[in-house]
Amino acid sequence: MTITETRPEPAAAQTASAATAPAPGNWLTTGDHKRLGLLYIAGGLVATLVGTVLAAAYLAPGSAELPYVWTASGSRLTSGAITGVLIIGLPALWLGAMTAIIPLQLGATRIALPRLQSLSVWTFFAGSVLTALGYTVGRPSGVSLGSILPQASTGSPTNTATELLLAGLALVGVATLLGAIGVATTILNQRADAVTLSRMPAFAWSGLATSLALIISTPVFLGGLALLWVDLHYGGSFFAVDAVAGIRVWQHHLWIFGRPELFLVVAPALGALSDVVTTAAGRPLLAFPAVRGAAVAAALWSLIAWATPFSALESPVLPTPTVGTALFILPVAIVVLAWLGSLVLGSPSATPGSLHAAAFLVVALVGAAMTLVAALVGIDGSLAAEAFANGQLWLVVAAALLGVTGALTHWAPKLSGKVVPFAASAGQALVLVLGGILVALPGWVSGLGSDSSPTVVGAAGAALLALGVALSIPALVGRGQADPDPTGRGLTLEWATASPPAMHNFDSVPAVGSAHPLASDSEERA
Amino acid sequence: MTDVLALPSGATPASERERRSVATASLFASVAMVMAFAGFAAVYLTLRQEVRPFPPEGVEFDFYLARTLVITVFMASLFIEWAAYGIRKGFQGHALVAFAVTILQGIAAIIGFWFLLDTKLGFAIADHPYGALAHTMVFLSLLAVGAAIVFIELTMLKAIGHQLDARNFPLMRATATVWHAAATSWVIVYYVLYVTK
Repeated sequence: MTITETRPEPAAAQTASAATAPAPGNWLTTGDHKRLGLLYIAGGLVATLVGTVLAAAYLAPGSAELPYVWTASGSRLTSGAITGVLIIGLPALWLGAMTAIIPLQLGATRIALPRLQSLSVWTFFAGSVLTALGYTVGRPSGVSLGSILPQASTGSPTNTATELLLAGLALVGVATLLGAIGVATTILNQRADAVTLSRMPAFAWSGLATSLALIISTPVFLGGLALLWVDLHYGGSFFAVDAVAGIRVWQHHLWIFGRPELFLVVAPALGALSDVVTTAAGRPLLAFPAVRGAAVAAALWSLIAWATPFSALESPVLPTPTVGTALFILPVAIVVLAWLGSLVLGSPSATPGSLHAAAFLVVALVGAAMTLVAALVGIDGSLAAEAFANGQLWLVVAAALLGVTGALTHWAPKLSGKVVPFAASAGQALVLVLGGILVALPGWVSGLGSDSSPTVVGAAGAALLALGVALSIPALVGRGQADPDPTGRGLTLEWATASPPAMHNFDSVPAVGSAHPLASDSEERA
Repeated sequence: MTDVLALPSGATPASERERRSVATASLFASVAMVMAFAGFAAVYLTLRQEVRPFPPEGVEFDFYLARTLVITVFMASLFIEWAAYGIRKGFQGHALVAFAVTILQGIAAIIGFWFLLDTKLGFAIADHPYGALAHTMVFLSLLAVGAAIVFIELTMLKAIGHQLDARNFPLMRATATVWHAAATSWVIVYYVLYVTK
C-alpha cells in the first residue's frame, strides 16, 4: 500500500515559500483560513477567560456584593459562566482550530467558502459583544440559560438587557452554524485528490462529525430563541409559569441543543489529542479505524444523548447521571486504549501537547470515579443531584479545555510559527487538570450530602482554569519561524508545510497513500 | 507495494470544487432549516397532551388556505425540478419559464402566509399558550420561502445571462434543494398545526 522508502522531506521548498510570503494584509477582509482560524481562537480565548473569571468571582466568598450579580445561587453555575465558556468560548476555539488546521491536514490550498467563513467569524464577534452587553447593562427579564425555567413570561416585560442577550445569542448561534457548514464543506470538497475520506487524520474525522452534529442541533436552539422573542414582544403566554407545557417545550428546545453542545465541546478533543499522541508515539495510531469510528461516534452520540430522561432539576445543560450519558464513556475508552497501545508499541517522546492527553485521561478517570462514588453513596434529593451535576459539568469543561489547549500547543508552529517548550506545555496541562478538579469539588461535596461547600476551593479552581487558558496566549501572539516539523515525528500532511504555512499552504502535496502520509515504510508497517 | 502518485489539491479544477461547495453548503443549510421546524414539531407532538384545547375554543381553523399553500409549494417544487431539467438538457426557454412560474408561486405562497397570519389563523398570540408557537412557525415558513425565492431569482439571473448550464449544474441543484427544504418546512407546520392539532 505505501509510498516511500524513507521519510519524505517535502517541506524544504515550503520554507522558501513562507519566507517570501506576502506581508500581513487586512485582517478584516481576509479569506485565509489560518487567519480566520486565529480570529476565531482569539475570540474563543477571550470568551473562555471571561467565563472562567466570572465563575471564580461567583464562587468566591462575598460574591453577592459584586455588581451585576443576578443569577448567583450557592454552588450553582451562573448563566454568564455557562454562556461564556460553553455557548461561546469552547465552540469558537474548536471552530478556530478546525478552520486553521484541518485544510492543512487535507492537503487543501484553501477553504471551500472563505467568504462564508469570514461572515461566520465577524457574526460571532458581533454576537459575543451583544451578549456581553446584555449581561452588563442590567438584569435581563428572566432569561437565563443555566436556569430550569426561561422565566421570560413571568409577567416582566422585555428590557434592553433581554433584547441584547437574545440578539447576541442568536448571532452566536448563526455564526456557529455557518462555521460548521464551512468546515464540513471544506472537508468534503477541498481534500487533495489522493486524500480520500479514509485517509483523513483523526482530527479531520472528529471535525466532520462535530460539524454535522452542530448543523443538526444549532437550528433547534435558534428556533427556541425565535419563540422566546415572539412570546416577549407580542404578549404571548407560552413560557408563563402556569403553562407547564410551555416550560417543558423550552426545556426540550434547550436540551436538544444543550445536550449535544455539552458533548460536542469534548468530542473534537478525541480527534485532536489522537493526532497529538500519534506524534508523541512516533508511529501511526494503533487500531486507527476504531479510533476514527469512536471519534465520530462521540459526536453522533451527542445527538442521541438528549433522549435520556430529565433529572438534576430537569436542567437543560447539566451532565445528568443517566445511562445514555454514561455510554459516552465507551468511545472515550476506545480512543484511550488505542493511545496507550500506540505509546507502548511506539517510541514515545515528550512532545508539546502530549501531557495534555495524559491530563485528559486523568480527568476522564476522575469523572468516571466520581460517578461511581455517587452511585454507591447515593444522592439525596434533586438539589443535591443538581449540585453534583454541576461538579461534573466543570470537569467536562476542564476536559474540553485540555483538549483544545493541547491542540493549540501541538499545532502552534502552524498557527503562529512558534514552538511551545515541553515544560511550558506540561505546566499548562498541570494547571488545567488541577483547576478542573478543584472547581468541581464544591459541587461534588454538596451533591454527596455535605452541609458545607468549599466554594473558596472552587473559586481557586476556576481561577486556575482561567490561568491555564491564558497560558495559551503567548504561543499564538506574534509571528515566528520554526522548522516545518519541529519534533521530526509528524506523520500527517500539515507537517509537510512551512511553519507558519505560506498563503497557499502547499507548493505540491507529498504522496498520500494512507492516513499517515509522512510515515516511512517501517513506521507504516509498524 | 504500490506507488501512489502525488496529486496536488488543484488537480480537480478550482471552479469545479467551488460549484460543488456551493451545492454542499446549500444542502447543509437546507438540513438546518428543516431541523429547526422538526424541532418545533417534535416538542409540539410530545407535549400536546398537556396543552389546553388547541386551537382555542371557538376558533375554527381555515383548512382551505392552509391546504392551498401546501399545494402551492408542492407545485413550485415540481416547477423548480422542471427548471433543473431544462438547465441540464440545455433547454434555456424551458428553464426560464419554469423559473418564472416557481417565483410567481413562491410570491403567492408568501402572500398566503401573510394572509394566514393576519386573519385566517383565527386567534392572536396572546389568546393561547401555544399562540406564540403557531405564529412563529407560520412566520418562519414565510421567511424560509422568502429566502428560497431570493436564491431562485439570483440563479435565474445567471440563467438569463447564459452563465448557468449543464457544466455548473450543482448551482441549479443547490437552488432546487433550498426550495424543497422551504416547502418541506411548511408541510411540517401544516402537519403539526392542522393535521394533528
